[in-house]
Amino acid sequence: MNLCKPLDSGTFNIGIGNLAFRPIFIPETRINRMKGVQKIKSISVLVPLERVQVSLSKIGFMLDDTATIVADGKFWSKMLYVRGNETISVSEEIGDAYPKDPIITICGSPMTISKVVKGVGG
Amino acid sequence: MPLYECNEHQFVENIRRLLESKERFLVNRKIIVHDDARYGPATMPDQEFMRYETICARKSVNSTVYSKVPFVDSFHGGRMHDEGENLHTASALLFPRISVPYYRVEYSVNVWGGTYFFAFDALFNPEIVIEKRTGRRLGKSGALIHVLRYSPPEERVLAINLPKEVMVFDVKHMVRVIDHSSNF
Repeated sequence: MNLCKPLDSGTFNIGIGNLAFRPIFIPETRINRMKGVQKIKSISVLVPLERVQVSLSKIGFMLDDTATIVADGKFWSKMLYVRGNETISVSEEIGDAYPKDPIITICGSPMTISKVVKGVGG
Repeated sequence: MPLYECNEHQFVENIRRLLESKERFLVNRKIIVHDDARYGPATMPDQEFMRYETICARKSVNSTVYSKVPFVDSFHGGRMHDEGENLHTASALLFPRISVPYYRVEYSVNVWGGTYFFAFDALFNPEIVIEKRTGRRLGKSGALIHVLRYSPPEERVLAINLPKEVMVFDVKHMVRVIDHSSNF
């Protein structure tokens, strides 16, 4: 007996009585699709850099490289954090500037973006 | 055609909005090396100046910078500096004896006739080593001397990381064309 009639790739017409036989590869396909999707987000938060760094290391991002940049007439330290193919850049003004509001630019999965935003209190 | 300047946060968020609106667009990037004495040790914040403290000293930001030891600036053709030499001052920036090379990085996106850009300068990283050098002032047998080198920052740290569906084109120069067709 044909339990599932394929409609198109990844979609199946399942009878009410056959819900227990739902193929498990559908959610897996969806997860794989979500992993491949990258989005960008930039946030400016009024939290110390140390808190941002702790939050990033907790979710597995490692510091890859740093550079000193000058933008808007101010000196910034730009730090690049990497985890697989996801990247986060954190720019913080150098010196005694007040208030300190590091700019965090995330290029990663929607899940990573929400974790980072939550981690830094955004 | 208007030109709008953004900071990093604004520029990235604008690109995110464009991506979410399914608008088709292209990001242009220009990276050019400059060594025009725009940046020098006198005007740097203390945290950045610390990288030069082996060879030079100053009282505070914008104070005159003097060399602590003789050294060779290998980036600028092996220029030799003596101990106690006035290297850089905030008041005479056009005539410094030492300057920091940098990349001028410009990202821009054209949407609906307007150009939105974000630009910044990335300073080269100094590296100070002691080497044996020969020359007129160091003798034929050579002598140990401090050498200042500069290395460019890695491209991956300069880049604004964007999703793969965003195309980034590298350009040398952008020529602005005035569109008179709207006057008729």
